[in-house]
Amino acid sequence: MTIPSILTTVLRILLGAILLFAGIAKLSNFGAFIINVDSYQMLSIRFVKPISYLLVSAEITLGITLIIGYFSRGACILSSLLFLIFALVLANAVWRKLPITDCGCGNFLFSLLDMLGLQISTTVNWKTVFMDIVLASVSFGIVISPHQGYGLESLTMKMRANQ
Amino acid sequence: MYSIPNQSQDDRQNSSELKTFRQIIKELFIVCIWISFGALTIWGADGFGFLSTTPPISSNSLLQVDFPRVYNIWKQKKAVFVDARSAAHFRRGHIPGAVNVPINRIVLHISDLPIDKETPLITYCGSITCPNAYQLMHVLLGHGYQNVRFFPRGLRGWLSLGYPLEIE
Repeated sequence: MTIPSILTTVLRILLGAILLFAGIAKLSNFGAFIINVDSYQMLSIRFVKPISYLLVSAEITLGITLIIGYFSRGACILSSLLFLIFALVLANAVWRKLPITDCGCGNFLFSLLDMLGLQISTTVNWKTVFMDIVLASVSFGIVISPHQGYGLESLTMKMRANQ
Repeated sequence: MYSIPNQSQDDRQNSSELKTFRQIIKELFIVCIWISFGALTIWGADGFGFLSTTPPISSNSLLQVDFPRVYNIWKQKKAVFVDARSAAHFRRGHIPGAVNVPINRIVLHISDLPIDKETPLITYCGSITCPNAYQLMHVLLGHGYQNVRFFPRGLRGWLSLGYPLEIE
């Protein structure tokens, strides 16, 4: 066990937990999430629901994959893309000054930072855009890191090697 | 003397990089398939009504009405919906039973509204960014209607939850 590998594992699990809990929160109040997606005014009305299904599914699937550490590099690339898309959409909303009171982008990391006095909040602002870019960078950092950390994948590889 | 082992080392490194790249592509493909399956499952769950489609009651001011109240009001026919968009947009689709009073043709269309000034009215326009519903509400209050509110999310918000549309 090396410190860089432990750090990679912790960051990967943290990212996974952020995505998984955000996805579950959206799924438990799906109607509100559809309204949130629509309020960004970037999609034709017929695509609002399908994209909402896809976003929630992506968050939950990537969350589980990152936590258990199976196919984690592919999942990290996709979660990096997802955070970048969120950042772009939020930046567009801030730029157009859309009257969005709930960005639908809340997660436990933002709540934690709020409690620490950083005021990230769940409204559309440049801080949430910045935080999404940070999360995308962390996610991509895990992909290019030479230390892949510990998870189900490394465990199965080890078991195969022992056989 | 040393060139041959170096070349073979480079080849091995290239082959290992290629292997890693192929592995990442494979992982991306498999995770994308899982996401698609997940999306289909959520679509199915939504279709069977297992997901909540009612957004929480927002902090409405006295002048605005939002989901889910607006749908209940429409269903129980407790108010007349007033569409503030142009006649052309209104013809393309509106909330069923709504009356069209375009913001720039109020004088011509105000007679389409109920004579009783206490009738509850809810104004709306295209989307959350459209200011016409709010403006129309104030104009109608100015015309003596006492029970006027506006629906800020407009027709886009209405359609995003799959509520019905009337086309003329």
